Amino acid sequence: MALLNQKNDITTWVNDYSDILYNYALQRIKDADDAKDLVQETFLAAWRNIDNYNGDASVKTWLVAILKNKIIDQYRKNASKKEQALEINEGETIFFDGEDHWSKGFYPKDWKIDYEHNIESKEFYIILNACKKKLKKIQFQVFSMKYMDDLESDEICKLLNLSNANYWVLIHRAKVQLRACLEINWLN
Amino acid sequence: MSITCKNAVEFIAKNEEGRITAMQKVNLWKHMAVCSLCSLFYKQNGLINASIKKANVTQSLTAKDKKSILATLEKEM
Repeated sequence: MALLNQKNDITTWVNDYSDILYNYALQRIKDADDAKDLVQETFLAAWRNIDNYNGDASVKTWLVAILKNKIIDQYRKNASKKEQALEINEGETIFFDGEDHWSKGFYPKDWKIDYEHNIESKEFYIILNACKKKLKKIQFQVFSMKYMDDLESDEICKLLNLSNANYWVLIHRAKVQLRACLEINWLN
Repeated sequence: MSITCKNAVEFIAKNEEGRITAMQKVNLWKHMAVCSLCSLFYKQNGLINASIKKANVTQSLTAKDKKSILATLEKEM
């Protein structure tokens, strides 16, 4: 009887929480298929550990906690890949000239808005999200960990096995790219 | 000592976590006082930081995706 109840529970949870988990993952993992896989793995882990769920936390909180761990594992897996090391050092120096000043074509333009206030336009957020997805995988990860999960640099470096120098290069390049992408696609 | 725009961008990023020295901070403010481009970058960067959590386009899994999750679970049950 208990088993039957548990089976019913997990089926209900898939219906009730899979979209929430999927969106949570999408904000943190660049590839949509990877995000789907993580949701599936989360439910599998939940099923295998269902006896440990004691009802103290809400189901949603419990599932999100499992997903969080899966995402960190995924980050680590990606971080250990060789191509990741290449991505960090890949030259993207077009934004600055030989003297490290802004290149002519990439001068930041004034958006003629009040930068201190939140933007109301929905379009702005859609474009910001699309621009974030254009970052390279490792940049996307570092950026998400920092700005979605509010982790500090030391923690991110430790989790991803990155040097401090590489971390700051990734962050500042991500910032420059994101800003430029937003300007091109939102302003026009 | 004057800094370049590239330095300024790096300092802006590090400053968010309080990871620059007092001297670097002075140089950053001095640079931005005369460089309108970096000064714009600074403001726009702040706006992006404040907006990024709101930039989530809600997407749903398809019925097929959900069925596939349930089917995988079935095998385990």
